[in-house]
Amino acid sequence: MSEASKSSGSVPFTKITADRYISPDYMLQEREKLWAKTWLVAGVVQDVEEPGDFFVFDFEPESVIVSRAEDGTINAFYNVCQHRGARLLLTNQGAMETYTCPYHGWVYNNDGSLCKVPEEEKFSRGVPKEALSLQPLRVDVWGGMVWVCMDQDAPTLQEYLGPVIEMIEPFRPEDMRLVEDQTCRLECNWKAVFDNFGELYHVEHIHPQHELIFDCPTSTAEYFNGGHTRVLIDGFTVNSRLPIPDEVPPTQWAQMKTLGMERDNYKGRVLDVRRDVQLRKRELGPSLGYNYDRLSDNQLSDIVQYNIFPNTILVLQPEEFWILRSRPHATDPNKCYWDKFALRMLPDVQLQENTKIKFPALQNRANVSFNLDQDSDGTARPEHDEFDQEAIIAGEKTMTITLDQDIHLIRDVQKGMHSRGFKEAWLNDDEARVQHYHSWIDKYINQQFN
Amino acid sequence: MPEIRVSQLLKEGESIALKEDDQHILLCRIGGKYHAVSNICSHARVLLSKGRLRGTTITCPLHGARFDVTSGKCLGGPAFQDIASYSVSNEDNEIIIATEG
Ligand code: FES
Ligand code: FES
Ligand SMILES: [Fe+2]
Repeated sequence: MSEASKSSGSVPFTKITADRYISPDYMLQEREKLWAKTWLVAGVVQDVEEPGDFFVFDFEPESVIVSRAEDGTINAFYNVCQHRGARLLLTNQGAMETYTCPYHGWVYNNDGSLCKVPEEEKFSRGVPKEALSLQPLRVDVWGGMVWVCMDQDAPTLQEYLGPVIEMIEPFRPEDMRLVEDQTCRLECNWKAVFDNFGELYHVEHIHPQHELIFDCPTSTAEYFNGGHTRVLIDGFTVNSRLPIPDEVPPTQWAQMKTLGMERDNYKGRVLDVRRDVQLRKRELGPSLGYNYDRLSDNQLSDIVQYNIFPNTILVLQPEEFWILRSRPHATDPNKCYWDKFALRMLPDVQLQENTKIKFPALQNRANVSFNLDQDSDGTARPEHDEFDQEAIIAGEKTMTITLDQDIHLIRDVQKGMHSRGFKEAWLNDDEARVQHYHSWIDKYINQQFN
Repeated sequence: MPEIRVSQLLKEGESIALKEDDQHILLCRIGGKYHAVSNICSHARVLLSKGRLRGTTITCPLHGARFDVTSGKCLGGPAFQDIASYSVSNEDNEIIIATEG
């Protein structure tokens, strides 16, 4: 785990010039060759738990309805009425038996079939109900997420994700519940924000707080077929490139305390904390209501991030799971939507009761992961909150300190793409994940996969 | 203060439509508590009681506007106006909804 970052040796070189971030023509190529060919995270399964539940996945200029029909199947349709093309649903989620078009009142069942056309006799050429049902797209479910794909010929979701599936499954993301649902409207290309999560080179410069929780310099990166990558970062430790502090940093105490490691009685040194947290979690997991059986020791203390091609980032810890997703703007390559779904593992009360070790102080809010500071306890679905990046910069909204720091910076990178003084990015070995990602963007745009 | 008295107790998660003197009211029981709101969608005036309740949210069965039944707040969809919400009290085996005149 603590070997140095892998070099970029195996990653093919791609020239990353500004046009891919600012050119409207490039944006249109992406629409045809990338978005229409890949599997995309549409939302969380939790939002279509019961028959009738639906959510709308806006993916400009497309909009997709994902719904669970009365027979329990999950379907995905383009959110467009087959009469004259009005947008059918204007709401982002809910539960309905039928959908009525707001324009002339055509009615569709929640399985997509057209069921009623007002004044049907006016259509002297008839109303072929089957052909005029909502247009489906491919849909699959994995990892607590609903995925959609507009291409009938694309590989299956399992093939598309490859080895990533088995790597993530021990975290049981499908058992976690939504605690936060946010969207920030960013003034940058959808790839610019994604690139930012493809390297740790910037961390020491804009996220100083990480030095006292993570050890980024010893991270390990991996590159997968299909354009996906992963990075493993040691947690409950400190940056090994900097002098090791004498005392355990205050930033770690809050989490350690929930494991009964109190400032007054903890005898370990700074570099002992990571191992001790692993041991404590193993020992106390069941009494906290967490089942850590399928996870390795390192997975109990560390953080792992998957960048799933082309637009989704999955950040996993045993108790918490983030889905970060960028969505393109319909007409402007200088804008995008940046989503964050935060999910948490709700402690299993049964497990807590059955364990012999009692750990009474904690009830059901054991805060043993790095970011669990949401107000929601996961029992009610949080409302979707959407805002401009200005709200983050003004400090009115937050997506956590770390993401806010990235957002502060990213719009200026986008501005730089428009400068006559910028030719192409010059990447280092730590940025090989960015390189790998763009080499797969190229494969799709050039439609050459060998 | 005008009020409606209901002697029927609801099951958890259940909702019923009430009508009294042209007033349409939706009464729900969520988490052991009773809530009453106007039963008419603020978008195109259909009855919300035909819609599905999930948690504290009801989705209008016609075009999908959503309302929080604990406050009447409109949460999205084609509607943008809140619906009226009424205070509810519980007396012996009766539920009393304080409605406007
Ligand atoms: S466009 Fe939907 S009914 Fe006319
Ligand atoms: S009538 Fe309720 S959403 Fe249109
Ligand atoms: Fe960052």
